[in-house]
Order: sequence, then structure tokens, then C-alpha cells
Amino acid sequence: MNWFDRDATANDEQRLSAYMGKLSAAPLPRTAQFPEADLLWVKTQMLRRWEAERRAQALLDLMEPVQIAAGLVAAGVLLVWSLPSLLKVF
Amino acid sequence: MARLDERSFAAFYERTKRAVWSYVYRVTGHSADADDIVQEAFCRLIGADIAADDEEGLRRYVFKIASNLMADRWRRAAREASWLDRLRGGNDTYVDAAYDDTVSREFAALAPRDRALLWLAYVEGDNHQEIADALGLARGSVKVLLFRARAKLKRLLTTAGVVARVL
Repeated sequence: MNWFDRDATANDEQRLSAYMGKLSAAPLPRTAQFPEADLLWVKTQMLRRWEAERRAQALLDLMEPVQIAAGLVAAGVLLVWSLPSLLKVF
Repeated sequence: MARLDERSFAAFYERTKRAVWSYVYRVTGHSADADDIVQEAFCRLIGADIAADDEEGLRRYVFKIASNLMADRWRRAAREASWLDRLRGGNDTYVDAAYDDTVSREFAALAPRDRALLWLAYVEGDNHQEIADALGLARGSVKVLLFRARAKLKRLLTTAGVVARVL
């Protein structure tokens, strides 16, 4: 495949192709690490589950201050509502 | 459309992992980065909406994700680089010592994007559109950038006398 036919001579193209071929055929370094496919599969499933849990938990976390605020408002309303009765008692 | 199941993923992974790793390693120059990026790219493939029997689609998807992850790393690294590093002349063409062997020295001297372009064109045999998709570039830009990358590599190889050494 000639990618650069604007001014490339066939000879140049051949040389570069040969160089790139040599480069790609060079052995991979021994440090290369390939985890097992099933490990990646399990990891991805776990990450997805955690993400789903995190999303569900985020909604609960969002509702917590709302619940507290609603409780405080209800307590305030109850206090105001029962204040006349309390004043009569004391 | 059948999505990837564990078995088809394993088969595809075994067929492709070395090619993707080589690509990322040759472009980044870091084997540790290549390990991380390749792992992340394949993990993202598992959740992708691609037919399991579309081998070419799967392959393109992994290369595209790997390219995006490399770009993200460079952007992050560039943000984190201190002004002192910049003054010292640090740049993103730094590579592992093991990478700098007799064959790859000149390739390592290219900018990462040039390395990616040349690798996809010559090693993976991708056409302009496929390269544009993988690297997030316009098709027209790929032609020009590839032309310049090739000219740079040719100059480097000629200067170093590598062409004669390799062939």
C-alpha cells in the first residue's frame, strides 16, 4: 500500500515499509504484562457492579439531608401546633 | 446482534493483545503505560455495544480507545508538568531505556502522534479513514500529517544510516 504517493519514490516507500516491518517484528520487552482474559472479564463485571451500587448509593446520599430537613420542619410544626396546649399546662 | 460474551472476548483478546500492546508501547515508549492502557482498553471493550462477530469493528474499537487513553495521559502529564520541567526542556518523547534499541531509536525520536500515524498506516495497514477514526482527526488532516511524519522518519533514518543497517 502506497500511502504517500505525492513525492515518494517506490524505493523510499519500500525502505520505510521494511523499517516499520522490522520494528513491528522486534520482540516485545520481557516487562510486558498480559493479564488473563477471565481476570479482565471479572474485573470489568465487578467495576460495573460497583458503579451501579455507587449510583444507587448516590441517590440515597442525596436524600439524607432532605430527610433531616423534613424531620426538623415536622418537629417545628409540631412544636408550634402544641405550643398553646403546653402554655396552658405550665 | 450478539454482544461479546466471556468466551468470545477471551478469543479476541488472545488474538489482539500483542498487536495493541506493541502499538501503545511504540507510541508511548513506556512498557508500564502500555500495560495499563491495554488493560483499560480491553476492559472498555467488554461494555461496548459492538457485535461479537464483527472482528474488524472490535479491533478498531480497541485501537481507538487505546489512542484516546494515550492522548488523555499526555494531556494530564502536560498539565502536571511544572514550569521547571519545561525550562529543563522535558518533552513527551522520553522513552524507556529498553525502548531505545538500535532499531527503534529513530522511531522514538518522532513525536507521539507521528509514531501513532506511522504505526497504524504501516503495521496495522489502516486506511486514512480508519486512522482518522482511531486518532480523532479529520480524514484530510491524516493525509497531510502522515506525509510529514513519513518525511521526518525518512530524514532521521537517512541521517542515522539506519536504512542501510536494517535492510
